[in-house]
Amino acid sequence: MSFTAFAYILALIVAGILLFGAVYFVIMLTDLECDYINPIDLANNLNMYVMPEMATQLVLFVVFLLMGEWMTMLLNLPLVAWNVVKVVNNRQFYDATEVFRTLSKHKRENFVKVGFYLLCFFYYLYSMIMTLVNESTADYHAASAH
Amino acid sequence: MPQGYPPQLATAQAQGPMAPQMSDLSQQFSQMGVGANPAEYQTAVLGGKPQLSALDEAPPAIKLPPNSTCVPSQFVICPPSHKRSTLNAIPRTDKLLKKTKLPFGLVITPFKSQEQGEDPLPVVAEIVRCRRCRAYINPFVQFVEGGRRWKCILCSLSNDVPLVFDYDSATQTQKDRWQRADLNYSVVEFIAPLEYMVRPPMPPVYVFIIDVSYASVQLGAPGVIGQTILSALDRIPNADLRTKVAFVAVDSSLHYFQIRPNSTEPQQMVVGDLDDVFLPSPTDLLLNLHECRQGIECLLSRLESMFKSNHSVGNALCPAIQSAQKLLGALGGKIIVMLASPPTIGEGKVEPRTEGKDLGTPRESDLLRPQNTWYKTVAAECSRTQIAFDTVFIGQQPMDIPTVSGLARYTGGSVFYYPSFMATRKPEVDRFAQEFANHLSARVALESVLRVRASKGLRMASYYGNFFLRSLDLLALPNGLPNHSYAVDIEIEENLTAPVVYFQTALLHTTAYGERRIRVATLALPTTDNIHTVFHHADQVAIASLLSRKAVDRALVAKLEDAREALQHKALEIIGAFKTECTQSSSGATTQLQIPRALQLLPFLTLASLKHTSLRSGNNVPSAMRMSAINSILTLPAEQGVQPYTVARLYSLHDLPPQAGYPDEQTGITVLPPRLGLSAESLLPYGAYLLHDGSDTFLWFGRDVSPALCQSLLNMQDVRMIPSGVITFPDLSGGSSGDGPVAGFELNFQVNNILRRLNDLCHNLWKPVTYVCKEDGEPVLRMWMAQRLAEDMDTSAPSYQQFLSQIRDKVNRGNF
Amino acid sequence: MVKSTIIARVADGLPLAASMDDEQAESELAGYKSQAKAVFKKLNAQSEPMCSIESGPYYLHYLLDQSVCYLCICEKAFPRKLAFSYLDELAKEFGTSYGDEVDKTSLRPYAFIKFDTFIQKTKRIYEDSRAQQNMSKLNEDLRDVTQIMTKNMEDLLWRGDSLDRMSTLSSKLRDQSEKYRKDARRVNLEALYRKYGIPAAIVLGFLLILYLRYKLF
Repeated sequence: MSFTAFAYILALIVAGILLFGAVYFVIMLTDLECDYINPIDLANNLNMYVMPEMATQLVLFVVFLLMGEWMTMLLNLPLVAWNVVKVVNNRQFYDATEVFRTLSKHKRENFVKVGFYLLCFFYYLYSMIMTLVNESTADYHAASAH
Repeated sequence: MPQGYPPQLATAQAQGPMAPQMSDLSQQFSQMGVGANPAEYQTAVLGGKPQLSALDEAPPAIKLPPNSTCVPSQFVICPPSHKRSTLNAIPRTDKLLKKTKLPFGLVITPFKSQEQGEDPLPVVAEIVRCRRCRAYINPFVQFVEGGRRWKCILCSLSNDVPLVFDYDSATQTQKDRWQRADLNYSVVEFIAPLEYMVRPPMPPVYVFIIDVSYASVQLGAPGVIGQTILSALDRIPNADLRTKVAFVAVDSSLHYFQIRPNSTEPQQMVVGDLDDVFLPSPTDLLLNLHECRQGIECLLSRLESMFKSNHSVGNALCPAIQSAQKLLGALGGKIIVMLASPPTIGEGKVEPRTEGKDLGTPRESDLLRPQNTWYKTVAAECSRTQIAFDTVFIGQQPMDIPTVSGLARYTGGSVFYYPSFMATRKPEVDRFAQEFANHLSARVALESVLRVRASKGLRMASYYGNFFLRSLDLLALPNGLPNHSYAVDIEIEENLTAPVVYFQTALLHTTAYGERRIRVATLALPTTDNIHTVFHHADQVAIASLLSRKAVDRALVAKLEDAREALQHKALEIIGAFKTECTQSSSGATTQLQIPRALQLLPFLTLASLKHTSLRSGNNVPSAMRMSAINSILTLPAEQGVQPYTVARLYSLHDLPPQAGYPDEQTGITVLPPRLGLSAESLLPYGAYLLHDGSDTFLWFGRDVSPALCQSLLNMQDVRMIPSGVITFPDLSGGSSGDGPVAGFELNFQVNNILRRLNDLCHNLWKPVTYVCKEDGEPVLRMWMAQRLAEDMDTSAPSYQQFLSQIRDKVNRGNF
Repeated sequence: MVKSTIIARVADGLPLAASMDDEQAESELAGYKSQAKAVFKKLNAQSEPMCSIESGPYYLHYLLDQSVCYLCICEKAFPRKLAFSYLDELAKEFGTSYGDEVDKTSLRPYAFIKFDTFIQKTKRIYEDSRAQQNMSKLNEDLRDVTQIMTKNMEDLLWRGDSLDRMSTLSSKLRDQSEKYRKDARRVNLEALYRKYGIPAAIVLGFLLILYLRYKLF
């Protein structure tokens, strides 16, 4: 199994995790709206996962960059750029005092992320299968050539 | 005297709708000819001088349809000082509201203190609430089914009337339900039973964190602070002797003061290791005020001498705050932070921000944003444990007020700023002492929360003020203050079908003497489909207050220029909308702009807000001053925020009418002289003038002012002998208690009475410092005073006439 | 040590005063404080005047005095004598200061919260159970704690136990002793079955197997 396939398997798993993460964020934000949780708890809870999520996304992006998988890399580029912009402007964390003001924006952002990770998940799945199929046909041809 | 209702309102309503007051200005009143408008809809033409006396009038009358209340009581109209709406006739649809371009919102002072001459609020022991929407019973409910059930005003559910309404089980007698206070008064206080308490009522608790570093000692602050608190000890709310206090002195280490139960000597404990904050003693740091009184007095009087020769330069505010949090634990209370130097130690330490070059440029808005989020995070955590902060900034050092004041802004506290404080300057010391003592003696609303409910179809969109938003519609105020006010933006989500809509504000709080109460204020407003009605029943003072809060909030979040631009644009839009919708010349150009009489001062108020320290453009407003002004705009009630804080009062002293400064025969209230326009044109070279903007008083003397006036006012032979700058205005009348003036000093007596009355109108929030400004005196003083003359042009904004013509041009061109 | 103190009216359980507890105590004791409220509800004029209720790691000691109940939540290690001496002091002071105002119907909750300063002062004195003063109190034999009724919180709340006084209990005992006799007989029979049931079953089974085997032969 080549490195590419392995990377895609890993990416698949990671995309699944990130998908769950984004869904969790959406659930917490709707809980805030329905008053099941207060803003301080929300901020403390969500801020724990913000940087790990961004770091994971960045790592994935770098891996695809190094491997030369241009399509995948381009797919991930907007999100990574968006994350970088947020970090540069110091806006990545949830602020308990401002969260109600920006609630609809955060919700929209997280919905988009859910959709995006879902798309990524299926794309990695497809890519993984294609890579594995290609490898096995290549092996077959290589084997039958001898 | 009507209960809880100011005398002016009662008399104004008795006179009928706004009694026009003519002045010697050129105003024309024209009748509206479009549509079926009643003759009383008067419009004014924008031009000439603004008629400032309109600011003292009551807001447009609220005309409810007949039978809106279950009892014909004169107290059902919610007094504007408790709650006022920007529109006293609500448009039924969102489309109509958008057409008028008027802002729709409420300005609420939920815990307003009782004024002199007002009766206390009625107290009701039983709470009756709607089953579904939890609204409180109020004078506007309808009793159905022969009085057995009542219909809720917000959700129209029929609820059962409880037995207590008609029958008193304790005395076994019938009661007359129509005498009940909650059916007769729109503002009542309920006594809350056990279900409204999470824990036993907390006592008032005050922790003072006092900066004793070198900078503070240089200003002489510890001594003055010690003396002030000492003199205010009796005024701190302590009705049931449970009040607790604690003192922590801060420089580069933390100084705690322990007073053991049976001793009167405080023991100082110094903690220098600040990495892991701990309390040096588990007990006796949080002192019961009554029991340790002697020790506390000893400590306060020694505060100055203890730190007189302190040369420590650091400021460990952040560890001090953390240890104060530990000290208060779950009890909660108020932490009063008194700083004279920036915090340099700990996680929240602030780096000095150079601002000289950035003032006046777009980068100035960055100076208003906090440089770290430590203080906001601490504030959010503290509001959970019912801890509130007040921040007091003393002196000229750059203490980064925008960052540190986050503590107060997100816990419902106050921000004080005394830049020119020095122990040797008596007027400044007096100002600090009196304002701080008044603040300490305020009757606080402990562990309180505020909720606003409205009729179906209305939604509270955003809130402005100092509070923590605990949930979408719940404001947490750990230590609510009597004269803080909050503004709410309201959106119309569905078309309103009912003829009357209601807003009910409930403040659940613990009083300073341990009783859990709910103060409920219900405001009823009629709805209308007629755009003219909406315009003519708009409350310009509330609109100005709401718009300035929104602008200031915008300045903190976005840029100052955006805020100014938005404010100006809004005024333009409103005037343009009126022209398009309500005048005959709806699409063409006009030479004269018409505006409803109710909104005639809107352009002037907008201009005054633009010229105010909080939004003023230019490069001579330090960000500390600006931040302090912004905080005042966000918390002052509408009446004080607009006037005198934004629109100062100017009176001439050389031609005071004879009855000004003396009590009125009927009401006993000091009569105020007529106001002058806020322009340099009003300042004549032979005259003396008094300008009052709340926190400062200016005495302006012309070159040729008569020596007799100087003698009668200040006991000085000639104007040249009067010192320029800060003075303590003398009281030469020998008696402030109305004995009458001492011969030869009548003017002084009158002016003192006028000043007292002006301070009363501001609820004694400020102790103004008096500045003498002479026509040929120091330019700095003259410029400072000129900033308050809002009608004139200055470096930051055009004059009123220019502003009007700008508006006229833009409206005529359709540029709005 | 005494963790928390609540003073309530016996007639309706209305809290009159309480100690303001610190953060740690608040979070640990939240459950026990609601148990205390349940205890107040169970109290009436016939209740035992002094009682210690065991609940988890704490004891809830209460004292009834002139239609007011004084309850404190203490650790198990805290000597009972001291706890009741503490409650006694509170009762005396509260009775003299506010005794006659307690029965007003329009009393609001925590009407006498200002008593909390006295509670705190007294609590401090009793804090250190090894203190010299306290040792002497222990020795003075203020109260014979052997006479104080002890209950368990679980029984009290969920198994229908009650706080009634000994005198009323005795009449109940008589009614219950009859039932007990019948129950005892039944239990005896059951014990018999249990004792001999298993061997009997084994023997029967063995016989059955033998019978079957013979059949098969």
